[in-house]
Amino acid sequence: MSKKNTIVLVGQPNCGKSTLFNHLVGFKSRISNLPGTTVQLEKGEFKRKDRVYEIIDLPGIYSLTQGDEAENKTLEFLLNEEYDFIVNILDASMLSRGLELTLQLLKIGKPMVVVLNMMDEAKRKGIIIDVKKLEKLLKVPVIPAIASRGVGIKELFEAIENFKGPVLCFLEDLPGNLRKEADKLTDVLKDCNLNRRHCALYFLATKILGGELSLDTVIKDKGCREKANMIIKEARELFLKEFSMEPEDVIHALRHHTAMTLAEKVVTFKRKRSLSFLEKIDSVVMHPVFGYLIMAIVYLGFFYLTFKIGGYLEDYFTKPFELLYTQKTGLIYSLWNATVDGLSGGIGIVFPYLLPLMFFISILEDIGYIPRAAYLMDTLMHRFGLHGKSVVPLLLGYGCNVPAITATRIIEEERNRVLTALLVPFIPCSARLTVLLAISDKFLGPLFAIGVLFLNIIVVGIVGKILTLIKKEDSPGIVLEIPSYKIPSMKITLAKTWLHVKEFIFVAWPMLIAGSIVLGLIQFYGIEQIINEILYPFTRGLLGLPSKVGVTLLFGILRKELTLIMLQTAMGTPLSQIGNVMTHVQLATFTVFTIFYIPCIATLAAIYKEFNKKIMFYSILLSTFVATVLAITTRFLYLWL
Amino acid sequence: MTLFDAQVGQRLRVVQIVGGRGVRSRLFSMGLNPGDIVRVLQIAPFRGTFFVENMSNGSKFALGRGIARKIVVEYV
Repeated sequence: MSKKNTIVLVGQPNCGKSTLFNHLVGFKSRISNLPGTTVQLEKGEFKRKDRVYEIIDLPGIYSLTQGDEAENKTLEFLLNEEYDFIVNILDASMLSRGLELTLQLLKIGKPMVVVLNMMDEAKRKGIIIDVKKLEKLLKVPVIPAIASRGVGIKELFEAIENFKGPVLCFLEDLPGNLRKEADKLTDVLKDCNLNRRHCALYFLATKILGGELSLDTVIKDKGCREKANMIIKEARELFLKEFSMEPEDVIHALRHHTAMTLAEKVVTFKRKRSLSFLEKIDSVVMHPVFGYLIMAIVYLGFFYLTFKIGGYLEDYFTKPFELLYTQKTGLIYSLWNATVDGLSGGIGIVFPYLLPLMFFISILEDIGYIPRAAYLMDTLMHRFGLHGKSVVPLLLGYGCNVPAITATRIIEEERNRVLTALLVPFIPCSARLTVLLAISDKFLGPLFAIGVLFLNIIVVGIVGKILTLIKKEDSPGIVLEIPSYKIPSMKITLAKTWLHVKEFIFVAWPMLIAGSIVLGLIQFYGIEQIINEILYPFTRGLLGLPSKVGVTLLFGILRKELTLIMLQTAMGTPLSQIGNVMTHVQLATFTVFTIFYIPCIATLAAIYKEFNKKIMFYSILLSTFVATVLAITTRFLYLWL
Repeated sequence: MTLFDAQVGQRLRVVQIVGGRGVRSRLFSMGLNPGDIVRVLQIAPFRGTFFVENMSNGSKFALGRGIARKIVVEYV
């Protein structure tokens, strides 16, 4: 067996790192979490000639500094994990900024290749880069590339295969006195038995002196820490004396200066062409009035198309399953029908909507619209104590909550991510919207439906506000890069779509099928009666509903799409006749409760997978509480009106 | 003055970034450094978020109002 090489992709956000990754790995990528965290990384294999490479796409980071979770974990990964090669991807049109990360990566002391991505974009901006000269200055191979078109991939792997080293480490040009302090700290680190090369130790020392890395994460031994702390204190005084600046500012300024000087040496500017169409577009897309109009059109179009395509696909996908149902009675046949229910529920109801939804969101993502929508919505979300980025998962929730939970990944701050995930289940998904629309259409009128949807938005706002008050944050606001527009590549969009759909197939769908089977068993053995009795104080007493709906509500958790069907079975009447056995107040209460209470089991599974058990239970408690309060309010308000 | 007081379209030079270590190092590493020439492109309605271009390297950012207050600028 040939030796498998592990390659890590490192780069700043929006440098085209994921594009390169998707080009290499495509449909075969898999998502995994960094150990003990929610930080996601994608892995996949790439074969070339007789070699197999394991490619790891690390989260995009601006700097190797301790900051948010993604940065911390990337730093830890690069220092502690086993891998063979660093491929550092740079946005060629922002060379100087990208080089600041490159300069840090070069100090880790691993074989490295630099990819100058988006050469076309740089050229368009009038930036010409002398690649050979940059290679000489950095002393590592530099490959010009256009990842979206696969340009440069062959050369990249040739460079990797022909890499002879030696692996140099690029030491920071610290001023004399500070260099001495860094050397001293390096020696202390070495004495502390940190099993690393000198180069990496020196890198750690400068990071610690610069306040970019806390000592505790590197040294566990107390005696060592005391020794190191003395040097750090000494160095800090030196920094303040010589520069009258904080150490981290000095280190950063030096690095910034080095990167700028490097960039100036290799870049020549051609006369910049006039603003391209794509650049002018922002004055409309981000406009205080037109921006919101465009956003409304984009999202309405997005939903319209999703439901249009979904509805069309659904007919085709569900038809074959109807033939599979059997009329025979008996345990085996009941279980068979339940399994078919679960299968068709996945393929026929969720899948048709999930597929176009994920496809469109990938396109919006690749074009670069998502950060723009986040900017537009930030002001409003800020009032709720969240950031603009939370808008994306919330809007997705109207289609299906499961991908909406997954979409919270675009939010970097853990706190905001959790809060957004707790809000997502309050957004009625297509299954719950169906319940609302069907009942409104037949009994309660369109005003009721509009009222509930409006109430829903207000409730999301209020719950959001309360949650953010409980879990305060001190961040002064959003800092989000707005990348330049890109033309999406079909291959990459499809690969991304598939990745999300795959998650549904392997996580949520099995839960759906299991849920159906449990439901089938319960009906077969007639356990409904007992459950209804147990739930009686709640359904009848608190909500004033017929006690028969107990099972419907309890098992609606398994399959919200089945709520209406279960209601018909429970009440023993077709939907059109339900008005005869339930009053309008009861129907209104039932609908409101259904919209807000516990998300379906697939959503819960998604929350569990993305976060943990605790967050999942919070979600259950929170949604049940809110639903109960609202349902009781509806019960009495409706009578009063 | 800070970026918060700027009018849409004005060219300004970043003098320094004040505030906590987190915010400073984040803005630095995202490519907003003292000496850079910046311009406010848009301000979202209802006392909203700033859309800012760093003309020195062409990068663009959405910055919350609290962040804008921490960026000290001067007229060019």
